[in-house]
Amino acid sequence: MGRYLLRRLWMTVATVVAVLLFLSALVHIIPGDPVQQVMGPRASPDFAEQVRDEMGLDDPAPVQVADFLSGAARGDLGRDFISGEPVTAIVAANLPHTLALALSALGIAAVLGIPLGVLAATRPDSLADKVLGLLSVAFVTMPSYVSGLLLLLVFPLTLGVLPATGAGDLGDPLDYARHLLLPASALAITWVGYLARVVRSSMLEVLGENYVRAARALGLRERMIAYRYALKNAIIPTVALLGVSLGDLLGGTVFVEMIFSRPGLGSLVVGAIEERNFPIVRGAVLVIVLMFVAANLLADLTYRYLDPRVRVDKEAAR
Amino acid sequence: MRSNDLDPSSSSAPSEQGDGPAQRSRLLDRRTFLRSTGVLGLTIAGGSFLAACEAAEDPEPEVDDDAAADDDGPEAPTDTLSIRVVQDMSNVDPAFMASTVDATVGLCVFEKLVTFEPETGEIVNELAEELEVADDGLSVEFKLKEGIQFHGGYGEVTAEDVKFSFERIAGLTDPDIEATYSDDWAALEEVEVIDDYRGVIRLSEPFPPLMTTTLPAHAGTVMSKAAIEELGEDIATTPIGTGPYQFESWDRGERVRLTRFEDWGGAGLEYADEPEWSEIVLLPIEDDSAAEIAVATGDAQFGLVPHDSVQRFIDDEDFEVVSQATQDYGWIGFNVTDDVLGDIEVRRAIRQALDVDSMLEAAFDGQTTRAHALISPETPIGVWEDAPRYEPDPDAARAILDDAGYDDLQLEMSIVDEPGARTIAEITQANLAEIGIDVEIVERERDEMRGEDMRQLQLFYYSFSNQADPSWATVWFTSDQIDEWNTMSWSNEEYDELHQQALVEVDEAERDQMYVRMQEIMDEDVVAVWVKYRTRNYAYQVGLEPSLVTEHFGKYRPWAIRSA
Repeated sequence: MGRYLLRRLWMTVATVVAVLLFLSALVHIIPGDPVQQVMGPRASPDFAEQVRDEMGLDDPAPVQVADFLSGAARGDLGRDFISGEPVTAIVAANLPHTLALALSALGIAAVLGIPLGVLAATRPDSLADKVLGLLSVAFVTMPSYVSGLLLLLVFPLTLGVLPATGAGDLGDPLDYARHLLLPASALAITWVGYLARVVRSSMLEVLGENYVRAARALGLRERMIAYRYALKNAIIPTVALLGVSLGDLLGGTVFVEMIFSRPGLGSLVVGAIEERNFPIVRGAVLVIVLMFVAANLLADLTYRYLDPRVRVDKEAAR
Repeated sequence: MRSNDLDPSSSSAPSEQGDGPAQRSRLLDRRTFLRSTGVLGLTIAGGSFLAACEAAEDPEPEVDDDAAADDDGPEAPTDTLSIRVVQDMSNVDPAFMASTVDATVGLCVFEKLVTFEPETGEIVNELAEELEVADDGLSVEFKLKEGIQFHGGYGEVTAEDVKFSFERIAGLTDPDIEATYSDDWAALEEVEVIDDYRGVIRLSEPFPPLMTTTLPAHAGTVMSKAAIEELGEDIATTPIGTGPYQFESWDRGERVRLTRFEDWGGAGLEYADEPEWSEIVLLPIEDDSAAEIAVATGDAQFGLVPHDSVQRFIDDEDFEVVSQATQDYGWIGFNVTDDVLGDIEVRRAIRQALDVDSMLEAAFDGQTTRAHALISPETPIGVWEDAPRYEPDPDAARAILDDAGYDDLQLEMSIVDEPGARTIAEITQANLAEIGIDVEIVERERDEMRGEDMRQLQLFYYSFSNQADPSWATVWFTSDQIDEWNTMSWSNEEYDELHQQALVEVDEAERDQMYVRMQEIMDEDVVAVWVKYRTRNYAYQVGLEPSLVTEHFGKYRPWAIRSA
């Protein structure tokens, strides 16, 4: 386990370094001169030069990369070159909103998706199974910007319940939760459908196993068989999926934050891209990538922890 | 310029079903929990699908009239005014203000010697008690109102603050801050302080835009010398002014809060009543559909809404819409150095073929103003009243091409990602197909429309923002701007000379004629087909009274909005 963890960490570090290199190169890859973009047509050549200098754009590319890497290692992601604020502080202020959104979406997806999958698997080919199947596919194919708009139209606009915009007050948990419910649901819908399908199929597999038949033969109630015995085994692939989904949800927050006008890393990046505000884009994307990598690592480790066979197989093979 | 146009048919479908998901499952047993989550999932699904079905059946859904009345949710308290703005604040230092949103904050927090009166756009005194421009246009004497206080305890406004503010933007202070708006003070020699309240602005040459785009605009903002010296660069996000509202906080991406300044000196009382809101909140909502919903639900009581939602708000008795023409212009331009478009006859034929009215109807729901020349009728000077009104005449257009000996031309039309651009290009494509020109539409990055990249352009649709002095528009089409912003790569000596002369002409009638003549030259050389002056549409709850500033960059004064 220890060696595996070490190897896995190495890969994580390598991924992060690769991403950092890419982000450093970003300024050069994306078309358009950030200085012109920031200063507009009225920038004097002198001033453009000064800004270029401040941003380090005139340094050789390897120097720029090294500067960014060493800065990032010290927690210094540079400065927003429009307002002059430190990027680390800006990212830190937005991070909680995005984390809250992604984690609540993950919660909603798990809380709805897993039971729906179990429900469908325990009644295969019933009407409920077919309806759930249809819904799941519809959910999976519904992008969050569509579900977001639909939820906005139904709840705040037509029914007049729940707020349409903003993140609410972090100091007032109830208010914050009210603002979180619709965006998190919009983000979760795809994964509700996806989880329901995955849980259903792995449940069906498990329900055909001998130990389930044995449990039936012992006269245990179906519900108990499904939840106490079958789900325990069937849930394992889902755990890996949850790790991946957290990464996907973090990326998906972009649309939802835009539609619900929520602060967060997604809307921060979009705004910064429009302004060619590279320090912010770089800093925020770095944090998103770190979270993505961390979520995957965590899922991987949990998977191995939950299913001893994975460990045994790998270690036996070595 | 950066708002999105989402499909209107995807919006506003009412649903009879579904209740808000409630978080009550934690305490229930598993059976009830399962049942309730299943029901919850179905409820959300049912609501979504019903909405989707109805949206599909109803191409022009209406905003539910009862929505606002039934609303027991996000109604803002009456002493807070919440406003939708199109993007986040970025830098509110008047030397570097980057967006209309920064300018909107500025209009609440800062004051100037003079400003534009709402509605009429006339110049009125603000911080100035008296202001007199000398006949030779080389000096401006001013006397400040006494007892006007800066926010944050930075003391009374004096002539020293005026001197510091103007000279700082002009680049005369040490170090030179290289302000974005330093050109507006290009002619400033110095501001001479006579006593605490009196001073003289001295210019090296007459500067006609002084009273239109310098003193009443960003460059004319009076800031606190003490505050800037103390706060340094932080002034970009901590503005200290004398305005009726002081800057309270900026939650990036979420809101800007301004609170009423209790010691306000009342400089703005010249043109508006006492402010009535204890707090003004600006909500950055970039997505147009989201903005429409925010205004419809009352999350924002006032805000810019997309063209395609205007009719829905007008039809709804809970809302009113006020439209404001601007001087921002959009045009279909020709690269006159192109092999094909270099021939003026081809350009003339295209101008004769294009159906601009249909473009405006299709791209902006007809909710914008057609342009016939560069300078909009909203501009105080340089308006070409007799600009020709070109109407589409495919036969005449085809005849021009035939006479010039052209057959089966192919052209590329470049657009950038901005509202209406694609529709305009598609109608151009259809119009020109009628006269035998095959048009391919290419979407480009904004950066590809300027600099040396502009040489690759042929036909294009583009738009520029603009301010109240015609020089702000004419400057981009001078020869100096080729490979910069003169997207037509067009050069005309007479035009260039007139632009330079008009910049220093003090006689208003003469100056007016110069700008008219410049537009005639553009028309004679057939460099563009003028399409629109941007119209901004603001929707607001019935009971509010907006306060628009016709000729100002900021476009409206949040603090002067009133509840009836």
